[in-house]
Amino acid sequence: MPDGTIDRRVFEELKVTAGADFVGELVDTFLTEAPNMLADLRRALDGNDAERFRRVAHSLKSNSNTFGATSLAAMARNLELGGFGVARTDNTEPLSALANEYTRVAQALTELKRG
Amino acid sequence: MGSRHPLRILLAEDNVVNQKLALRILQQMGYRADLASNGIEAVESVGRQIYDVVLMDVQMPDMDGLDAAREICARWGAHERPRIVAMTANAMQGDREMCLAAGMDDYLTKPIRVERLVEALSQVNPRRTR
Repeated sequence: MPDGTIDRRVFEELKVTAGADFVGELVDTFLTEAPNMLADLRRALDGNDAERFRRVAHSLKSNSNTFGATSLAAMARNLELGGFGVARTDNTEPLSALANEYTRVAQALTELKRG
Repeated sequence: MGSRHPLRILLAEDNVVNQKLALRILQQMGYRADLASNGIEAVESVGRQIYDVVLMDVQMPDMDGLDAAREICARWGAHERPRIVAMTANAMQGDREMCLAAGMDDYLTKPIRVERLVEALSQVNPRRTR
């Protein structure tokens, strides 16, 4: 697992708080919901819906923090606070970068859930 | 805690992961909660049923937690309404003040920490009537 994808300390703490089996289910829920959030962000950007864009970015940030997905949370936070300004002017195409980081997070969480 | 200090709880939260985690933590404390998935539903639920406390997410679609808190405080007096505890993933300066200014009584940051939730719920007095 690449460094910094998941903060293990946060993830372990979540398991202590809510129980390992439950956290496995919660990971599954996140892996079901997150792709919808990414698609929602894209739609909000294309449809010029700034309020929705911020709200979805906020949700993604919140969930990422829950699992210790620190980088994904930081990227989502950046989109939440910067809104369309960040999403449109940045040459690196932040929504693609976000989707790539999500792929890493999904992989890492799937492994952690098994382990 | 649920049997020592029984409470009727409404959880207003739109995000499924946050809903599940909050319900799980409450369940481990011996509580169950009704769900509202936006501010409008939260206000309706408070009008329909007696709750001792609303755990209110701030960022929700249609009507956010701040507007829902303002609406609840406008419709019902301090002794006729549930205590309102804000839950937010922001943790930014001024965020707490904004929630309190909207009429909320307490403030939790997400991810929820069990000790803080225990503390917030112990400050809730069960209401006998509306």
